[in-house]
Amino acid sequence: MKIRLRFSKYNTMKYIGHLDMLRYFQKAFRRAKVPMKYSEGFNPHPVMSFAAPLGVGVTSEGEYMDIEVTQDVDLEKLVFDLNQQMVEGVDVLSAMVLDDHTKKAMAAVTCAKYVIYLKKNSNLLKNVDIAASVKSFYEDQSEILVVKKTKKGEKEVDLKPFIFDFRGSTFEDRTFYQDLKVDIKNDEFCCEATDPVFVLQVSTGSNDNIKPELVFSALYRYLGIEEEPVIAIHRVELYQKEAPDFISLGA
Amino acid sequence: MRKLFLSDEILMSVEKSARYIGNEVNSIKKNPEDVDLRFCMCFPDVYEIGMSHLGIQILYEMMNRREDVYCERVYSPWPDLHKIMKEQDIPLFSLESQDPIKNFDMLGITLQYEMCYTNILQILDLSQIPLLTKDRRDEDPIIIGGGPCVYNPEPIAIFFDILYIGEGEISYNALFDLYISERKSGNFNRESFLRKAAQIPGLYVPSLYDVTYKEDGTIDEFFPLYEDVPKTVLRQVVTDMDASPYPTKPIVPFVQATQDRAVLEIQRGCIRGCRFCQAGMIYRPNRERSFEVLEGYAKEILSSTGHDEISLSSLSSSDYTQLPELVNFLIDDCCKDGVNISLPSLRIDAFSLDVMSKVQDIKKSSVTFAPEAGSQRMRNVINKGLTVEDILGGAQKAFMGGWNKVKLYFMLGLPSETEEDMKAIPILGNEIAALYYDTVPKEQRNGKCQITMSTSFFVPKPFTPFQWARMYGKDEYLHRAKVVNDTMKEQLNHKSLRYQWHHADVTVLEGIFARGDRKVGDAILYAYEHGQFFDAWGEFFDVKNWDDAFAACGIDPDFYIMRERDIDEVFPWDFIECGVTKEFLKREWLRSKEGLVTKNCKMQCNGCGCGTFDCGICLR
Ligand code: SF4
Ligand code: SF4
Repeated sequence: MKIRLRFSKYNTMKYIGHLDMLRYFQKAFRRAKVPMKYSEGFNPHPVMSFAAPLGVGVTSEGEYMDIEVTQDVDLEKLVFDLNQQMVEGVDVLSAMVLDDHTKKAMAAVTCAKYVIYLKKNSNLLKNVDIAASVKSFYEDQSEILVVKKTKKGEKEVDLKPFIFDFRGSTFEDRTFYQDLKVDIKNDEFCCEATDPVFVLQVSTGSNDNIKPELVFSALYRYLGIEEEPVIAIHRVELYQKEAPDFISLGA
Repeated sequence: MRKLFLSDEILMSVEKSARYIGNEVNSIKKNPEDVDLRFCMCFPDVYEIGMSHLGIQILYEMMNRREDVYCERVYSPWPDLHKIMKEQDIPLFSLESQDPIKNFDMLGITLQYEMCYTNILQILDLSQIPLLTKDRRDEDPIIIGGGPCVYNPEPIAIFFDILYIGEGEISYNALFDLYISERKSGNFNRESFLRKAAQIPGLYVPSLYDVTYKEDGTIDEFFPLYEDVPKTVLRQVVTDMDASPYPTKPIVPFVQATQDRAVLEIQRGCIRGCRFCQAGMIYRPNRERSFEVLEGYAKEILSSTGHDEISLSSLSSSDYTQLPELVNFLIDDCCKDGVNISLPSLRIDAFSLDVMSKVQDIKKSSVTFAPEAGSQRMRNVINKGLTVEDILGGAQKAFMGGWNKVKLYFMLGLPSETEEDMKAIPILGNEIAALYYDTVPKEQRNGKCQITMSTSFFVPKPFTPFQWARMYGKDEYLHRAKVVNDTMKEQLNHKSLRYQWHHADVTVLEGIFARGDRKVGDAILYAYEHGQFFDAWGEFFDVKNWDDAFAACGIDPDFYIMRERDIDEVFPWDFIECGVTKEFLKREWLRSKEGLVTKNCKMQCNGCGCGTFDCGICLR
């Protein structure tokens, strides 16, 4: 039986890297006595894969992982048992059964949605009309050219086709974050009513993986700010279909 | 929500910030307000190394069983964070509560190898605690050292308030009780507390003792400053392994630790008396945990941690009486749940090869021998009861079983070593390679065999029969390695042989620390204050800093290194009653000079002195 789990990663757990999270979950499955399917050989590993690695320092409530178990399990019990084994900062949010021909999360993911705000040490953008600036950056430009570092060197790419949504406002506008499962407000970051907050939806996955930092570099340059952006990033959701009919990986 | 001590900006700018956040599975959360004593346990090296140490997990478990005590942890910040903390004047903090260590009652530092001595000072310095015991005030934490290095505590004596001699399970309770009652009395005074602590068995309070030296630099007298302070300090020993605390819910780090597995300590101490081996002497007598107890621990640890590997911890696992039962249990019960079994320090014989073939991939793994010396003469001198027949017989069985990689561990610079003894190392390697080609027909070979020989340079340690022995200079060590290397190249099967040797600079420094006296402490302080730390890490070890430090402090390294000690010399560590008596060690030193082998504890008791502990193998 194949299962897809959705989980969150926040608070101090955001400093835990991708490979460490993998090992963390491997052990959590054993503690929760989940009947995981194991690979063959002298060093058997549980069959599991994450949808899209999350960078260190980024929080999320839209993490997905596919696992395989050797006998049928009750999904509600699975989520409960796993949450008994979680540390503060990781919650298993839901589980769903996958049918045999569902694409692996890793292969299916196309797009990610983020809520972005500023860290304390980047008190820039204070006196800017956020909504208008982002609108003109995203909508008025016919192309958004950035230099992307690749294995072979640097190349110029147009980000515009890979950005599906980009809006800005201030924390006064609760619609930007009120439905989140994780409280992103934190005294280390700029979360006052007048501080900026953004929603960004970009292409993610094995092809055209766009990091939010790249979009923000372009935005800052567009606004004539020389410093590199220092942003707090919270991943809200991962999607498996492209625009216009985005479907959550958990749907 | 958990608050971290370091800012997000700092955590995002250092390597592996997960080292500093705590919150690991099975780490203990208590409200610091609810306890009478806050203890911080420190392993003065980087997190991944420190988290792999079983001793800390044992004491963490034991101390936290007390409701009135909260034991937390700290490890050495890596140099990138060290720099930031110094620049921004940020005090070092514990992982659990993220509180500054300077606000704790006690800081316990485990000393597992001499090369961590500068890191002790890093911890104190970053914690903003005075480096020297004499400078500490009533409000500073009590600084306690423990671990194998304290069997010669003198080079680090000036940094510690208390050095705990022996196994931590025994005397901490008495120390905590004393501290709590002194604090509750309302007029806590550091000196009077330490004076009382010196009465607790196993606790050495260095500030209560003084040393005088003879003209030749050796010790004239070592004595307590006050009449009520004991003249000697008795090593503390757990007498009932089954009843002593064991961490069945050990902490599971996020960052991959060097030992990322469940660990079963099957026994303490070793029955064999290899004359170079400090562990073989200072952990006597050999004491086993019973199989039934270990069986329960294995199940509990695996289910509380989710580890997918389990390993045995002991000095010489093959000597554990119920090893077959234990190994069969692990294979039958744990393997089926996808748990890997790793079995270090097994003697290679039919039994161990059979077990290894079940738990590892023969094609990828190797068989390991530690003959420690190449010639039989030398092995007799060091009392290593492994004969060339044992090695060749074991290797042949391994080759027949499908292995083609052999690792061999040796030491260079052992007492009385001749050029012939050095050459015997690659000659033995060659013999093993030849045996492979004789044993395994061409069509069954999986390529060439690979015989890897490693040598470390021998460092004489306190409380061993070789504590009287001399060492050599760096050039001489490298010369010896060259003799081995050149001889290897002359061997018929040299293409199947590989040779690795250790750095010699570190060996010399380790030698100075291992048998140094109080004077050496000044050089450690000087070196740290001039930027030296993380000596155990090749990239940070700078021998020039140490040359400068010894010169500046008027210390002649040759005094510690080049001298064979007079049989009646007073050693800095003589005040420790370790169990093994100086008489026994002398006898062994003289026997080694005659190449006489001494039987192991299972075959015959040699009256080493540990019988007074009245436990373990001595009762048989
Ligand atoms: S077998 Fe020898 S070297 Fe190994 S622990 Fe025992 S005494 Fe030490
Ligand atoms: S007293 Fe005898 S049996 Fe006990 S440790 Fe010493 S030599 Fe071994």
